[in-house]
Amino acid sequence: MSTKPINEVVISMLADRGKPAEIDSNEAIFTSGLLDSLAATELMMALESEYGVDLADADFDISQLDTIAELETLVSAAA
Amino acid sequence: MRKNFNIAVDFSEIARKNPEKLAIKAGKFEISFGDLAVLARKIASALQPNLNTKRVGILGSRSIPAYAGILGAAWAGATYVPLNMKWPAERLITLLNDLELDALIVDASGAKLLTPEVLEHAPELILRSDDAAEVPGSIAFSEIPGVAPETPAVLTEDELGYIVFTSGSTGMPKGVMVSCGSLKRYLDETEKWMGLTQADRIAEAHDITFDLSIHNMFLAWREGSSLHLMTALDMMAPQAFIRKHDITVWMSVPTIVNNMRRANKLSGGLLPTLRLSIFCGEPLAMPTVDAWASAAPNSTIENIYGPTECTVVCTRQRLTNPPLITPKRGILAIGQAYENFEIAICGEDGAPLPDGETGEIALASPQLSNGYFKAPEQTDKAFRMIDGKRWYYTGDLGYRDENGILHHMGRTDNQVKMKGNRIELEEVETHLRRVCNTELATVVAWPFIDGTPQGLVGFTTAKDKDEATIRKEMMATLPEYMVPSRILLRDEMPRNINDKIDRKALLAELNAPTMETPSAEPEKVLV
Repeated sequence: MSTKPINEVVISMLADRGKPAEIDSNEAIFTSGLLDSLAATELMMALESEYGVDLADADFDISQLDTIAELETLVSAAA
Repeated sequence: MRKNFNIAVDFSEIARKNPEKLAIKAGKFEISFGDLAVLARKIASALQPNLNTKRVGILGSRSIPAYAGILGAAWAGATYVPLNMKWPAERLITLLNDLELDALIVDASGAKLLTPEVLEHAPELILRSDDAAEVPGSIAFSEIPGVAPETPAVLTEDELGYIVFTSGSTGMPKGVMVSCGSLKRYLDETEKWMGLTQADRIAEAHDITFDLSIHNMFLAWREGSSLHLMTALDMMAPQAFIRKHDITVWMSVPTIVNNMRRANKLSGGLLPTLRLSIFCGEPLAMPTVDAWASAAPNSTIENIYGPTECTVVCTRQRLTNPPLITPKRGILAIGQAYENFEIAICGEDGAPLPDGETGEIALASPQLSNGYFKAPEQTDKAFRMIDGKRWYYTGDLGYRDENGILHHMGRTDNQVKMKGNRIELEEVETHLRRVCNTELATVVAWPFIDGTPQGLVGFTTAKDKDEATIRKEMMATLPEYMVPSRILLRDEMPRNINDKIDRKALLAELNAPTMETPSAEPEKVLV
């Protein structure tokens, strides 16, 4: 299965919600309110099912998923 | 007899007696009752000389500044009006015009929504949190020179505490006006079964525009418990949040639990710190209850029911062994009414039905709200005087069983509740028709899981626009959660016997196995 880069996923989520698709890779996505918790849940499930990121640890620190840069780090570590 | 009904009074008393106590924690920030009182009093001092309509808007996320704004508005003697961050600019502008706010309070996220276009319709006085970007003409909290008295402004029980918006069938949301007296009566009844203490740590999973936030905030402020605000990111892993912050009290819509279940995040014994879990806003299906009861073995589970129009909550059912289930739906019953409520089950003619028969749930109580802001017709339709008593007709169907337990059986109208958001399908249709420039457009809720709608699907005969364009144009006037995830184009609409668009036929089409499935699966949503 070919997966698109994680930044494109975030950008298409923004576009789906009528938000400007331009985003700095260090800009907060979720804590800023740019995307809501439903989007966050979608993203998390995609991280697990399509990018092989293991979020199973009940105490996983979720705050490291708030920017595209952080997401890219996470995805590349899982690849 | 209490003389000051200001909704900030309870908070002010805790702040005086126990100023060091943690009031709110949000991410890396936290604030004590004492410090939050000072911040609220500063905000109140900036508001007080400017009060005219006595309405103050709060545009913010789940943040300490937004809560300080709520408290400051109340402290000054104003009605606080939370404005939804998900509203598109056009809707925000319409409501700003209607509301005639004396002031607007914004946090960092709210300030971002104040485009020049929106600002033109905003009140002159704008207070912003210190971490917010500069907004022309606004005053940062720290720049406010004065501080209001230690005691909140004196209000009677009839004055408005807050206005919360909920979906309306006319195409615009309705503002439910709740008096200080109704909120006090609600809190008096609710604290009896919550048993909160200063040791409790309450998670806040919902926005300030949702009235579950009112429950958490004002009960915490009455008892001196701490509030732990969850960011959108924390919502991705609520179980991690509960564990990290030793949360003792949880309240949310069941969808959040179902998301955790779907992601395999709920294992037995995972959440030992919880002592009380409350579910509200959607039918509570038994598999959800069972999963939570196993994950939170030390927690009591309560299912509560209440329209915003009756001040947050009016019936309650504790999870018992065996559980009290609504047989036809496989959900927990909504239980028994608060002591200050009378419940009637009404037939189509409005006359009361005997126990066991299903009809519309009507509620009478001193806890009822004052009705809808600037919408007397809608108010008169929903709130009716019968033999000198004021009743609210909920639009919810239910029946009372032989033991006096109330069971919820769905809606009388085309209102649905998705993830706690109340949506009038007519409201969405109004926008779909306008965008498509045709009356031949309708919206259904679909698909259903455990009897709970998961999404909206629109149908239209419009020829000149494709699905993406229609959705994009709807997004300009509706919050994203109200825009159908799929718009299906049809040559014609099926009609029922009354020549109305036949929603049942459309639903049957969606349920047919050959139908191309607009899936609720996340990977498809992402594409």
